[in-house]
Amino acid sequence: MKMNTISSELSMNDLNSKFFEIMQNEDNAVEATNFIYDQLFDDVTLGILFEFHHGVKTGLTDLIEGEKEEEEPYKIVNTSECDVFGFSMMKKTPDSNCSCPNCERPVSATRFAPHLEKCMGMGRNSSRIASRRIASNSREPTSYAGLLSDDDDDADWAGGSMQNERRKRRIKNNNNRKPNKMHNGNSRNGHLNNDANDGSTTYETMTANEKKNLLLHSCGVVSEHTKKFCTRSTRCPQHTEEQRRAVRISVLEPSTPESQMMGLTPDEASSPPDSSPSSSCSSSSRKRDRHRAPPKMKNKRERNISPSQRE
Amino acid sequence: MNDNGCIHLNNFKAAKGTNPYKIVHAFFVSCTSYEARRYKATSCLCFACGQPGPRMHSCLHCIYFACYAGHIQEHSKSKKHFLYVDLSYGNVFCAQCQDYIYDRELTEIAAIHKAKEAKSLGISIPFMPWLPNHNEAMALRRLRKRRLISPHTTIGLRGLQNLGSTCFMNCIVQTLIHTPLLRDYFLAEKHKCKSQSSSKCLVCEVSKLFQEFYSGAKTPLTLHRLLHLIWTHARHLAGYEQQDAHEFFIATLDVLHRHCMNGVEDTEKKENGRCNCIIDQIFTGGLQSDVVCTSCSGVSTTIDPFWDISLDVAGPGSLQACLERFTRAEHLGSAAKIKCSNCRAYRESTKQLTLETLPIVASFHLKRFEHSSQIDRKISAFVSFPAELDMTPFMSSHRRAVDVGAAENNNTPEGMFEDNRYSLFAVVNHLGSLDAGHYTAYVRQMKGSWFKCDDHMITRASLREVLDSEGYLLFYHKTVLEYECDVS
Repeated sequence: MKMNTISSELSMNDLNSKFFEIMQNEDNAVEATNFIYDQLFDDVTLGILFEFHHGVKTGLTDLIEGEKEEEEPYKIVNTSECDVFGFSMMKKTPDSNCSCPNCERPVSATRFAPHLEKCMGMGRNSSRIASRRIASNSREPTSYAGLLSDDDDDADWAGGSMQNERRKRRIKNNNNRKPNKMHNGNSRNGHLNNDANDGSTTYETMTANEKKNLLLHSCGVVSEHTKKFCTRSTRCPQHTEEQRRAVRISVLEPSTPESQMMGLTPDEASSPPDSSPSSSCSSSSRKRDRHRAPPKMKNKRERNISPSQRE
Repeated sequence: MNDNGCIHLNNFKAAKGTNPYKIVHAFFVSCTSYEARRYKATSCLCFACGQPGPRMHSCLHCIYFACYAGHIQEHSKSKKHFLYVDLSYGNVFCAQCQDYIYDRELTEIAAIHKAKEAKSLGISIPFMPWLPNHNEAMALRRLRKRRLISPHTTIGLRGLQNLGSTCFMNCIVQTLIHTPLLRDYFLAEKHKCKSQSSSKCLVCEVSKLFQEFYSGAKTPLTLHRLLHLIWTHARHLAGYEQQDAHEFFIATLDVLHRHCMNGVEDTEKKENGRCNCIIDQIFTGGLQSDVVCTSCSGVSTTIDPFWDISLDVAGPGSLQACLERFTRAEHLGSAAKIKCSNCRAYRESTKQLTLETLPIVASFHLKRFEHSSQIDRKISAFVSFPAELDMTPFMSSHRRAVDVGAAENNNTPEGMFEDNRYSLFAVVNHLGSLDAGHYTAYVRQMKGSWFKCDDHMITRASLREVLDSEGYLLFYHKTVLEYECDVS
């Protein structure tokens, strides 16, 4: 075959030395450069043409493009009184009900967040409500009636319309009464009070189960200064994985299965630091911990290290 | 879709099969081996005129190379060999139909050879245009109407109901929905949920949200399920009253990242030691920290992943100035000695942070909230930020090149040709004071088309308005995306 004669005429070595010989001449190098550029340019252009030709010839372009949907129903409204959908800027938020994914009760949408906070046992006082609910272990709506009267902060159940009046009053009261509620919660449940202004508390008054639950969802490292534990996430940037591991081993009895689960395989409770990065600030503080020994409990938002604060 | 070649090609295939095409393609179009590359390099010359072009073709009936300037046509006519293959892309020309023809069977052979070629060269598979499979083609034929994103319609926009001080969430959701690459991922239905129950998967919930935003419906959405999912999986967000949009953003990325990994095998999870879930692919960058000992000049380098960069706003008046200061070498005073592994003693040192790898979406957090034991305050200082941002000056490679260049003069910096341009696509603003505030977001729907999202209210905005706003969280998207080229 002709192909074989061509390739056997010149060995790869011959080709290489010939190439260098020819390229010694600057004119040849310029000519070769132009040739290569033209080749590449032609190749790329040809590729685009083939793609276009293929689309038209096979009907693929027509298939993909289809028919443009009528735009008229979705046209942006361009007036100063309305938003893009044509809703009046003056009108108040239209309210609707949604079903709470936690308790499956209908809740007014505009009051959903405060409801959910309490329903999940996250806000002030709500840990008490939540633990009672868990204790009563009943999903029947009737059991909520008791809770409702138990905690008059719970104004968000979208009950019957007859309750509306009472609800409004409650919202009002609720706002006025906030400072009072604090000591109410603290007197009985101080150790579980998740007040974010404080952000920390101690293990001493907690049961094993409470400790276990807490350590499943929060960092839990005890501060040297305040002797309180950190209530931020299991990936809180203020503390290291080592510190978290240590506190899990010391807080939970070393022999219990929980401690093994939590202390030895922290990946179960949280994602490993290398696989799930957090903000840049957290990584720099993690590093700082590595360089300098004693970690300090700092205020929540001070974790963000910037050049000026890097001491 | 008509990709059944032509009657002449079908007759040829019936007589000789696809082998002639396979051989020509594997040796002279997409070289699947070193040997093939050698053949192609040395023998692809026109048999008639000896030139390497223009547009070399090979006869499919006999191995005869000729250029498209007339010689392949001559051969075809004289020998009555009517089919010949273009050697650049492997398309077949039929001299009887007088056109290039497309045959699905041959297209598939070509795709296999392309993959083999890439593998033999150790490069990633080159771009190939999307071809619908049978079912997809059927669906496209059945549903002819195409919904397009246009600057004149509300497609892709949706108001979000305030669920009781949940503007922090609405802003972050608007930002995520308008993240171009995330939108492409979800609208292409790339998330295949492997978790037990999709109602517990935040990624599935976000996937549904994208459908809602592009459904054309105009009424505000209620994100109660999303809020419940995030609070369930990020318990530290202790209730709605203290919510900070930045904290919520990071927590949301974390939950999404964890849910992407649900049910995924350990072996699939990581690529080159990096998580390759969509969240990490888009949002994760690498922050390099170099600590230099002042005594022995020994450098200790660590690289940590990051999702966003928090910047001090006191002082500098622009985002670039903030970044400049963030990446400046800092002398750690005598009060902060670090143990040097080289000197085996505590030494004074300097520390410098630089960006080792850039994420596709660069998120900046301007630290406007100052909390200290004495005072809690909001810093409303104006910080200008550009619509287009070049991140090159803040890269580790650039810093290194600058240092080396200063010492040795005229050294070509490594990574000089990288394109690190970013364009602004979302801004979250905090209005009001520390304790009585409200969040709104500006989002870019298409290039040059900005909207202000204030809970359920979506209004048009100008780029000027966006750039003049205070800015709390700034989101930039990489302008030019490169195909990843991993040699494996």
